[in-house]
Formats: sequence, C-alpha cells, structure tokens
Amino acid sequence: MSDQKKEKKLATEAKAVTNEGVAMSDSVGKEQGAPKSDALSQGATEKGSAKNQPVSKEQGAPKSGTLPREEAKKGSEKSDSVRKEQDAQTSANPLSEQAGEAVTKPQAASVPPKKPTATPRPAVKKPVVEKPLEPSRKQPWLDKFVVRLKELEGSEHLEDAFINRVNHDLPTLVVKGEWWRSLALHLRNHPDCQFHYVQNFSSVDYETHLEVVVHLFSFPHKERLGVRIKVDRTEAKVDSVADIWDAANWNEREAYDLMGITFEGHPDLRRIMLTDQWVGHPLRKDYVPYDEGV
Amino acid sequence: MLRTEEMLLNMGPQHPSTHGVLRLVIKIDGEMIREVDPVVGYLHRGTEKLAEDLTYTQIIPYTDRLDYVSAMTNNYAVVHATELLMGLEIPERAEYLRMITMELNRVASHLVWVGTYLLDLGAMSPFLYCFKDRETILNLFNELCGARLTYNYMRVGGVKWDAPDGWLQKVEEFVRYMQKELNTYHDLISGNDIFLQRTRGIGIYTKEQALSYALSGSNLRVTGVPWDLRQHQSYSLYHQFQFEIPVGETGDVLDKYHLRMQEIAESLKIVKQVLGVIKEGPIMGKVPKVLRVPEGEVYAGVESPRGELGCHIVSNGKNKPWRLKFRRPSFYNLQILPELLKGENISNLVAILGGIDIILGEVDG
Repeated sequence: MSDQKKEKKLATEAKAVTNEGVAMSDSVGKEQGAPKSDALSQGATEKGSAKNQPVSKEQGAPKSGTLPREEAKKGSEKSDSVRKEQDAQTSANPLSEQAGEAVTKPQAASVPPKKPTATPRPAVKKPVVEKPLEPSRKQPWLDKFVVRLKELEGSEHLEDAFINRVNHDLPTLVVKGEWWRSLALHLRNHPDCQFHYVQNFSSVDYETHLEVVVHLFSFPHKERLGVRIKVDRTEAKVDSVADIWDAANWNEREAYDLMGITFEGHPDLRRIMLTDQWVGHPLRKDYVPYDEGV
Repeated sequence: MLRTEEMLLNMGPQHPSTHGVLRLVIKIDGEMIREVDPVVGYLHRGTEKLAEDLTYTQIIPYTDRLDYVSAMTNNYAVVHATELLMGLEIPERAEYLRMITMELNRVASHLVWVGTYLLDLGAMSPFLYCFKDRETILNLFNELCGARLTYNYMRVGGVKWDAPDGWLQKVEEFVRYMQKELNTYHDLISGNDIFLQRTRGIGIYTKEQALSYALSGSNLRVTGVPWDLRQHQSYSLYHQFQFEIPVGETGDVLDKYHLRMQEIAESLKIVKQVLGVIKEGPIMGKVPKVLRVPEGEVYAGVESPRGELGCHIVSNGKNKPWRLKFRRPSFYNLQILPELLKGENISNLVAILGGIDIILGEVDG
C-alpha cells in the first residue's frame, strides 16, 4: 500500500510527464507535443518569474492569480485547435491530444516545469522529471502481452498500449472497432489471457469519436486489463460481444440506449432504460431533449 | 396430465415482491415458467448525465439515491475514484470513519435483505427483528451526519463530520449487542422448516455462469469463488484488518442467506478492529476549495453489500467530470434472472428473485 501511495503521489506530481510518456509511444503525438509544450512553458515561465520560485502543486493552485491561468488556457485552446486540424489530416491518435492537454493544465496551474529548455532552474526540476521514468511494475507484462497480440490477425488495428499509472497501473489497450470482436474472442479464450470477467462496461463520447471502454479481469492470471474501443461518431457501429460475455448483453443495450452505439449481432438490441419511443441518445454531448409539446 | 395453454403474465412494476419498480413479463405454461423478460428503467433518473453538469462534491448526494439501502458505499465509490485521479492522501481518522460507516451500512443492508426476503416468503416476525436492529444503525448515522438514508457524508479528501462525543462508544455497544443478537436470528430463522423447504436447492447456477454474467458480491461468492474487493483489490485501509471471505457450497438461495449472515459477522469484526485503533486527528486532507481533477481516466471498484460497485471517471481537467459511469452491481446481478427462472415453478419466482438482492434505484441508475 505504501508503494501504491507513493506511486499515486508521484503520478500526480508529475502527471504531465507520465502523460507525455503516453504520447511518446506514438510518433505523431511526439511531434505534435513538442512545439506545444514550448509555447506553454513560455506561459509558465512568465508566471513563474512573477513568483520568482518554483512552487509545489499544493501551494501553486490556490495562490496563482486567475489572470495568468486564463492566459495559459487561452494559449492551450489555440494550440489545441491547431492540433485538432492536424489530427483530422493525419488521423492521429486522439490520445496524444489528451496527453497534450494534460501537459498544459498542470503546468498552467502549478509551476514545476518539466523541460529544462528555457527555464533557469534545472536543479529543482530534475528529480521531478526522473522519477516517473521508472517503468511501471506492469510494464514488462504489457510488453510481452503486446508482442503476442501483434502476432494476431488484424493487429494493425491496435493503436496504442500503455499503463494507466493513476489507476493502480492498469494496462490499457486502444483498438479500432473493426478488431474488437476477434480481440475479445482471443482475450476470453486464449489460455494466456482467460479474461472471463467483465468488471466494467462503459462508453464515452469524446466529440471526435465514441469509445466503448471495457475493463476485464482474469481470475486464473489475476490480471486486469482495460480496452478502449474507438467507434466512429456518425456511423456508430461495433460488433457485439454479448455471446462472448453474457454480462455484455444488457450493457450493450444500455450503451445503445444512452450513447447511441449500435452493436451488430446483438440478440436483442432494444432500449433498456428509456421508453421505446424516446428520441435521441442522452449521453451524447450534443444531445438536445426532444419534446413535441414545447 | 392436464392440457395447459401458454399465457403471458405481467408482474409489477408495482408489486411488493419486486422490491421497487421492476416489471417481469412472464410466459407461463400452467405453473411452469417458459420465459421471463425483465423490464427495467422505471426509476431511471439519468444520474450519469446529470453528473456531467455537477462538480465532484455536488455528485455525492446523487449517489445516495442509487443504492439507497447502503448509501455510504456509494458515497465512497465516487469519492474514491476521484481521489485516485487526484492522488490525494487521506487522513487516517477519515479512512477509519469511512470504514466504520461502510461496514455498519453493510450490516444494515444485509438486515434489510434478510427481513424483506423472509417477508417475501411469508414470515413476518424476522422482518420486525431486522428492522429494529437496523434502526439502531440508522440512528447512529443520523447522529453522525444528520440523515437516516441519504447520508451525503463523504467528501473528496475525507469525511464531512467528525464523530460526536460518545459516538464511537455507542458503535462499540452496538457491535457487542449485534454479535450476540445474531444467535437470536439463527434461532429464529436458520432452523425454520418452512424457510428451509422454500429455499433449499433453488436458484442454483454454476461458477462459470456467474463469471460470464459478471456477478459479484454474495451472488458470486455463493458459487465458491472467494472474491472480495476489500481484500483482492484493496482500497481504503482494509489491508490492516483481519476478516474472512465466506463462500458458499451448494449455491442455492439458502446458501446465500447463510453467506450474508456470515458477512454481517465479518463486518462487525472489522468495525470492532477499527474501533480498537482509531485515534483523534484531522478528518479532511489537503484539498483545494475548487476541485479540479487532473486529466485522465480511472476505474475503481469497491465492495458494496451487493457486489462490485465501480466508478469510471473520464476527466478533462475541469471541475466537472467529462463522463461518469457507475458499474452498478444490481444491474449486472439481475441479468441472470431469466436464465434462473427458465423451467422453474412459478411459486419459486419470488424466492429466486429475492435471493439476488437487487435495489431498483441501482439497477436503473
């Protein structure tokens, strides 16, 4: 537990860096991340120089005035929009986008900068930078796992594999929807995986795309695994896994009902929470209630 | 043999034995159940959608209303996930208070189950015993946080109220009383012949089925899987204390009853141990006034009386969650019902449904 706590603390102190680590695994993310963080660290240094000393996160957040934070935010929004365009062109991993934002926010709120580029305090920063570079205790397992996954047919749909440090070092895969069903079969049946148990079945609207998020647990191997399945937003379709895990049946109905994801091959895809006549899918971010009487 | 015709029977949503607003559309052939289609959603309040427009502190009272029989664990689930994302350190006394309230709430919840389940089966008096003892717990909670059911007690970083003077002594008295009182329950219920005949050998499913349907809590342990998040994905300070994970043998509803009674005893054991080590101290960690949760994604499950209650939060660095999803154990556990009822006699329906221990506020979210 003390280890966990340490890691937790560590993870937040230098969340920016861990997240960058995520982006690093994707070359596109890296390229995009670099110029952005420069722009930001400038904003950060401005603020930092006003304060004249590096502040720890706890002190930094409440003390720092609203003005510099807003400035930094504006900056980040701008660069965000630029990057979004790039994303659209290169169809890059939106993970990198998230990671990029994460880099900005903690920096804007608190001062510990993570890159010794233009800042005059290398001695203070160094420990912060180095700590998160320690690989997670789950990293070797994930590396081996990914090597085995790469041998599978359709493994080009595996977009990313990383460790979610905050979440008790949860190994997480990001895959395209096309591959989900065959991956699910592999995860459920292969003797090295045996993920028989669905811990959680969730869905997220990222506005650029939808995601089905499944958390699995393997009782024989005592391993947890998070899988994020990317689904197109306009044509939200993905193969059903209700015959692979019985637990997915109602959950897919719920995701269909509230998030508007169609699970192809589902035995009984009806609305489950709302009435059959309901218009729209409320958990979509652009949902507008439909009411004839108004 | 008589010739019978298939017929559609509607049960609920206003039916006392469905423990809320569950509706079952049952296809029966004589007294045999051919098919069951549970219709849920009558109590859907869109908690997950509402949460997207609420700050993290504002979400907590909404969680009280999901599983309204054990609101403390709900409070903890959302608070715990948020704390994981923020990487907060929680003061020891706050964690101990949380554990005391969660375990007492587990006792109260199981008492409700025992009472109402036997009421379903036609036994009136155990219900009165159970609710009398549950009332003691509710009064303790009332003294602690001013509410009997919807506590809104926990906060990100700690708890809202410290224990008032003499509260911990009262808890200790209750634990001592309840440990003895459990024998009364066994005298009253466990040997009752009608109860045994109604519950023995019904509602059995295999371990593989339980895993595939992702059942959790007593519904999973009854098949012999010793799986308890308090020990296996340890959260709070449970690793400091000794307690057993009771598992079932035959997997029928009678087994579930014994399992839950043992869980009451184990919870009391935990409370007793916590009372031995709890010291004075702060009840809130260092938390900024406006909670801005760093960007990231987290899923954290806790062991609620009904099973794995999980909270999946996606944050984009604002003071409100981008997406919040509850893994609601009753929703998962209820899914197996059609499977269990197929081919059963209709008189066993209520006995099997009651055995699952669902709370409709949680099923519908």
